[in-house]
Amino acid sequence: MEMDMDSIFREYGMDGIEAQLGELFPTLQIDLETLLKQAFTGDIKGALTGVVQMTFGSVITDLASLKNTFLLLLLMGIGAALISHFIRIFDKHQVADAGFYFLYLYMAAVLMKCFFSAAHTAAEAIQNIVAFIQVFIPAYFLSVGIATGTMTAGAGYQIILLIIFLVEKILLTLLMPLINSYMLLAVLNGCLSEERLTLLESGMEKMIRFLLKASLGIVAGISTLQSLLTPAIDSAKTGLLQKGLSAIPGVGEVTDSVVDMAFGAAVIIKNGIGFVALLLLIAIALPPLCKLLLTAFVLKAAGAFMGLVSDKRMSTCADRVGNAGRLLFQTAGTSFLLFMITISVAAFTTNR
Amino acid sequence: MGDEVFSVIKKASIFLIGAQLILHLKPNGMYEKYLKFIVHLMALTLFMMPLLKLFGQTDEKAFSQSLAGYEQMMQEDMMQINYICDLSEEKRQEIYTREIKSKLNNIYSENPTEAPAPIETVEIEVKAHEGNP
Repeated sequence: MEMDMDSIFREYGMDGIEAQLGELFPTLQIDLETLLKQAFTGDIKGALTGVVQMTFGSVITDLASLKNTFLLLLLMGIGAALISHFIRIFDKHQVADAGFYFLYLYMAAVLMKCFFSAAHTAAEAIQNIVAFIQVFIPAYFLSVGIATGTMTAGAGYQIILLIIFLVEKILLTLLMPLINSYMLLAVLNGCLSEERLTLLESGMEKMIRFLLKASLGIVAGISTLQSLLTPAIDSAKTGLLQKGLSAIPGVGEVTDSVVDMAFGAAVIIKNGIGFVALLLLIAIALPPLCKLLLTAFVLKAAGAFMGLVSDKRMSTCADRVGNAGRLLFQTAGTSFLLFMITISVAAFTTNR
Repeated sequence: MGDEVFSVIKKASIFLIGAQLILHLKPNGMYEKYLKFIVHLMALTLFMMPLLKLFGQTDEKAFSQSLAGYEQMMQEDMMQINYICDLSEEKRQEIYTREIKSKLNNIYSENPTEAPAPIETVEIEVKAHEGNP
């Protein structure tokens, strides 16, 4: 098994991939050989435990800073309520309004700091996912080509390139600035006395959600359609070759069983590499996704608790910035799902 | 495109935050609704800029087109003025007379019932008035 693993490692270029992944993700400490061994021996639990240990260390450290933000927002909400009630002892409401306005701006600054940190995390997560796919996918589609056929591998590779283009051009270049704009509108809406930007804000939110759903639907549709056709063509080609070899008198039966065995081994290697690819994709995407989800949750929870004591505008603002955080989570999650679905569909439909 | 939208909303946000600050610090509430109206109108202009750019009509383009049109008109007028200024006194008088006659003929051709009046050229002297009238 040791020798086999070494040869697989060399033949599929896994040593180079491991070195590149080590440079890209120094904190993850990826051991591809161990993961592949666990995949080939069917030790799913061991592989998953290793990945979970790799990922959740960073999430716990992020939790502490989010707790501080939550407490700060709560204190600010209580302080705003106290100050606005206290200032009302003056005859003029102008003083109370101006005081509330400055407190609102301070809260907006805290919310924006929290949000832009989350936006940076989301952008970094998407870039990391794309970088991982660019490094790992050639080896995976090489194994697909050996196990199923070159046409399926070529088509799968094209779809992956299409998804990389979609992720970089739509999710990163278009959607991320739109989500930032949505957050700014949400903050600004509370500044204006009659919430005049509500329609613009909800329209932008609907557009972002539509683009996310559309990109997911388009990619899932294309990869399903492709998987209906190309594996069947490749299967017909290899079946023809196998039948031809088995028709040779004397050695036909032996050749047939050898070809079956070789293709079976190639499928196992392909699925092993696919399994490791999915595991590593999860390991890379899960920590930032957890951080984004926690950020959105903390902001929404702060909004909900602030609503008990503070002005409605302040709690609504925190809640809407939480919505923007949720959109960031959905964007990073969509980029993760796009690759996950494509690799899963390719792995599932290329089994013999 | 996303970056452009974000930069426009960023500019509008800074403008609206500043405008709200001025509204909060105003001395009295007499003109508050008018001030708010103007502020919102300006904010609308800021938000509309990317939409105008989508239709290919930018503010800079419109401004440069108008400027070019005015420059051309100005040049034509200046050429005409220079031509008239370069002529001698008799020639200028002749041009003015011809212009007046053609205008009068136009008026009479529009109202053919009125008989055309004889046109005479007379000399008038214009003096500058000094002191109280």
